[in-house]
Amino acid sequence: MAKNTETEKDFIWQLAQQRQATNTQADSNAAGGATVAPRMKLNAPPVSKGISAEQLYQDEQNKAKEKEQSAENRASSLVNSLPVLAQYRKLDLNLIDDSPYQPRRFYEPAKLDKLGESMRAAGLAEPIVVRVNGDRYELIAGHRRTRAARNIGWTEIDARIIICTDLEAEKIALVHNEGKVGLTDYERAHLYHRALEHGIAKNQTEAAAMFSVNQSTVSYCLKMLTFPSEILVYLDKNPGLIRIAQAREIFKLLEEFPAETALIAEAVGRMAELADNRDEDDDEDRFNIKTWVLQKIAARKPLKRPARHLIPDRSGKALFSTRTSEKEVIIKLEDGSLDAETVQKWINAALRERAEKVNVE
Amino acid sequence: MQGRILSKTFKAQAVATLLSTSSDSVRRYVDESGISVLRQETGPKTRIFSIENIYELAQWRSKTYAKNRAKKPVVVTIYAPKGGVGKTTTTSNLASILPLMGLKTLAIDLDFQSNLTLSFGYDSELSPEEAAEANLPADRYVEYHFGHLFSNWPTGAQPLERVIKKPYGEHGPHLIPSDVTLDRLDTIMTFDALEGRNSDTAINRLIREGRAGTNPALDLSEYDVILFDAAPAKNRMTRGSLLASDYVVAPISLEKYSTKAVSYLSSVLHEMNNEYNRCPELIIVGNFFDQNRARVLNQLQTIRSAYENCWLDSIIRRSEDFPKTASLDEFDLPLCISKPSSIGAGDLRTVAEALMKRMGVID
Repeated sequence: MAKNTETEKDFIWQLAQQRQATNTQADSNAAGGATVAPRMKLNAPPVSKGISAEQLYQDEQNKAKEKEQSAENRASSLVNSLPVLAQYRKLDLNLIDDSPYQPRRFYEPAKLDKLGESMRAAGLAEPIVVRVNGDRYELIAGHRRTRAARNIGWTEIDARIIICTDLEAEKIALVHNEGKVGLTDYERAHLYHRALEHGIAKNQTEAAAMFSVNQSTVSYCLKMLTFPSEILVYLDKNPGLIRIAQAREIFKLLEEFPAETALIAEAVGRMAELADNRDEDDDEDRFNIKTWVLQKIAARKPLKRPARHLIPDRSGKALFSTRTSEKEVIIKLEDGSLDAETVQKWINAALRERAEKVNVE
Repeated sequence: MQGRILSKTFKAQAVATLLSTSSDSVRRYVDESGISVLRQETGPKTRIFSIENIYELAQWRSKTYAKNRAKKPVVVTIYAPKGGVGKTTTTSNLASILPLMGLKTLAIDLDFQSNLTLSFGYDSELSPEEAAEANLPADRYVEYHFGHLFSNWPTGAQPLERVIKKPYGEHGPHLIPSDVTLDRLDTIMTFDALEGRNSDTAINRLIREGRAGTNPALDLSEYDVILFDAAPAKNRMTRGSLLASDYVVAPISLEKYSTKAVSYLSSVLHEMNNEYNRCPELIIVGNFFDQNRARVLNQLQTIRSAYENCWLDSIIRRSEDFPKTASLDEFDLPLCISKPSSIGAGDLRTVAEALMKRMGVID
């Protein structure tokens, strides 16, 4: 078996060049003279080596760490500004849920293990932060530590319980994850929906795993797709208009006032207007939808109390008063000396007289 | 799961060819290593080697004599923008030859057409019931693929141990097979990208974290060479593997026009370089060389002059030994295993060695 030795290679190379020389000659002879074929531009691969794949990875990790650190600092200061219900409580780990407002969270097993080890050795440096959610607790800060605690077999964990609205919880989660530029909740709703529709994920649990978010996040986002169309119209134009915390508020309103869909949609329209005109740097002054809607409903309510007409006698004393409602004329005897049957006879007579005239005309 | 039991056996001479050494050395290795090799039942009690024996010997030799110790680990993508250039043949043979040289190798089938998987004897279409009916060992069924290693795979990530196949035993090439659902990984990466998460670097992250050896469920630290057999398409998975690779090996068929394909690949690498400040280094390997055909010689000339820097000196000659298509009919083994003394196998071994030297893996 011949090997591809140096000399053979050279020989083949020479052969190639010879053959090509004769072929080109033959071709051009056949074509009746020299023809110039169109030349294709050939791209050469990059000369520079660039950074290594390892370096690419390191750079990515470092950038992510920096962003995370600064975001964490800002989230911390937000958390610390909120009122405290209980400074320090040992809570059952089974009662603690993730925040549904965490846009995405992937917890690397290796890092969780390390965290677990340090917690096992030195305990928890700082209590996690939760808020009350019915008879359970919802995490505000401490998702990693909670997971690590479960992994190392703890049943309880030190927690600070704060008072925090949905909107505040959402803001904290967003700030915490600010480094990660992503889609709005409404866009993510469409994404999750598409993943489910295409069968990429079979159910919400799989979708949650695929996008590394909590199932509750998937569920809250998907719920946004069930808004009445009058509201969806605004979201389609500006997907960032409503986030899931506010969406929950709006759903509550829609439930409470099922007849007021149009009004609630109007409120969303108002929000959209304000959003369009708002400055980039404005720290959002949240337009309070609930307040606005309730005010509008209240402003409508005073039912026109139909006017009461008084019929006095010659001395001015009120004898009768009349008022109307939709299909009634109500005559009230203001003077106790009159009796109702007598008055009725008078009224019937007056009405009969009127009725005859009506027929004739 | 036990390794697939290959019924093919080898005599010392074949082993010697495979290990690029002499039969005497082979016998000496067996004695020194204490690896148990069966002897023929009847007639002269010649040793008959199983494929697992051969790889075990190769690894032992590499360790004991420090032969071809890997100087550095590499990640390589085998990629051809066009089909029919011998990509799968090249990858399967490369993956089979490198461990014979003493290099621990992991081949990853990144093409949902699963040709590489097929070439190692795994039919990804096979269901567990069909496997049982045909009396095939359980591990012949392909349940998991590369996508299952990712944490955000919808049904959850699987540990490497469960995904990996070892067609020729522990010391032979390791394979991460593919099946048609691998295509979902591309869709998931697209969804990821839509969400604003950088999915292009997802494969790089997986490899680097695996290499670090900190995750027991996904430990890639033992592999000297990781080979991606990429689909002939510019999809996200291919981009991802290129971005994670130190080298991209582009086999071309010298029987066909190839400059357009290589030019295209070059532009892909440029784009990658612009966006990520890195790209794998290109090495072109010529296939189906036939010195008696003018067209082939022309192609050689054209490609060499256009891409001199990327051209690998060793090429693979056209020979009847190479099967026309990948098939599972008779467990078409990679040529280097089925016909170790053939011209084709010899060329493949030369190319493998040349590649490893060029990549700085061996001296």
